Amino acid sequence: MSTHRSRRIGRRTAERLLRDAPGHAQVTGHDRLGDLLAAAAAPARDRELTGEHAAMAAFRDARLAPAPQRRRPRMLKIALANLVTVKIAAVAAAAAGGIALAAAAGTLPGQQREEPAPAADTDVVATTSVTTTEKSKAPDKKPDNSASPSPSLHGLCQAYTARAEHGKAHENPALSALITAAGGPDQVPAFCADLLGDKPGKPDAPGKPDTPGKSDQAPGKPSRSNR
Amino acid sequence: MQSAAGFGDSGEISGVAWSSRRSSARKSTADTAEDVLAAARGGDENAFRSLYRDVQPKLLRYLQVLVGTDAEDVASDAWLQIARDLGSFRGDVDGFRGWATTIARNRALDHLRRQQRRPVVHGTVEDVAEPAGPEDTAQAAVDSVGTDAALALIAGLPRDQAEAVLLRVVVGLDAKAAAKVLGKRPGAVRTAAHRGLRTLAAQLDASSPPGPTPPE
Repeated sequence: MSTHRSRRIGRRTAERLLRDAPGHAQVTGHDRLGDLLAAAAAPARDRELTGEHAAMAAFRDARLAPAPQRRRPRMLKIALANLVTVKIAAVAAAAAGGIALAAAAGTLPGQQREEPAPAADTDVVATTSVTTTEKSKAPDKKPDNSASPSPSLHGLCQAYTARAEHGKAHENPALSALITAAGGPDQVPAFCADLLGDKPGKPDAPGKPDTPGKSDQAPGKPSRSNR
Repeated sequence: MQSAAGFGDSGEISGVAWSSRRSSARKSTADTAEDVLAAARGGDENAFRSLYRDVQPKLLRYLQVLVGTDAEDVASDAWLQIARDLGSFRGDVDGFRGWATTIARNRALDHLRRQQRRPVVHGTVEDVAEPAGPEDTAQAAVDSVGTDAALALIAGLPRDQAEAVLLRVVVGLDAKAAAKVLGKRPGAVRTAAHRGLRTLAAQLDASSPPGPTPPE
């Protein structure tokens, strides 16, 4: 009589049914529901696997054209991150110096900025100061990617040097600009040695006419807006 | 696009937290299953084929409830992406099942958006079980205990309940993993699944076969 009439399903019973359906749990009083769930979770039928061929083909294709696609953006990001780091460091140094000077001259009463500010703060300060200089120097340049290659190349050289140790530098598409600037893959090490050796840590010092091949560019433009 | 609460289809994003809570339940096969997954990620075709054979029927049954007769197409889309992104997936076999289900679900939702129509949940019941009320469908499910009939009955539930029941029973996810696929809290998914079971039980009762019919 009561074999067909399900009792109300409590939480624990429900969990058992949900969890054990594939193994077909016999939960007393819920045979039919158990059967139903077991049927829903029954083993695969052949017609459910008709897409196997296509899936395998997709798998093969994916193996033939593997990871680089996904990696590229990340490498680019690393290169850009290097740039940003270098610039922030340099600008921070400049800004801290400027502030110290200003403080010494008494123009900053009450400002507790004497000690080197943390990167985040410095960033703000730096951006403004840099923008002003930049404006005066190169008024009608677009603010984005057209920035002078000088600081970019510096960062790219760093990225290149870092990657060169792993023997993968040439594969990075983000470095193609660098290779072009250097005049070929073979020239890059010498080019970067020059660039990095000439001005360690001060990529954006204004007026750097001895930068190889770059003397005609407006040199100090560190605030190229990255992304 | 990313309706599944931000963890989209990328293995990198979703891979980190896709770990198992049920591996002990399958202790005997756990090692080999993990081996298969690792081999597939390393490019082994046979390993990928076993993954496909294990997961595809589950996905297909789940998709059937979401997109009805388009389930095959949506599943193919999903497998394209699974094959492409498998290398970047991080997690164990249970995690893989959840990850693959998330991809399938996102493809299904994209599909529904493209179709500009509501989920075929109710249509599916009618497709499979002719013009029939839930009682008849339930009767068919009980009589044949057929997989399609059972799925059709589940598909007749409100969608959140149907999804919760299917993810747990058919796909074999636990409440937490199912919640992740659905972008909800585990408690909500648990509740939805329980409600779904109660509704199913009531429908089965209502369709009790003739004979010693219970009173009332």
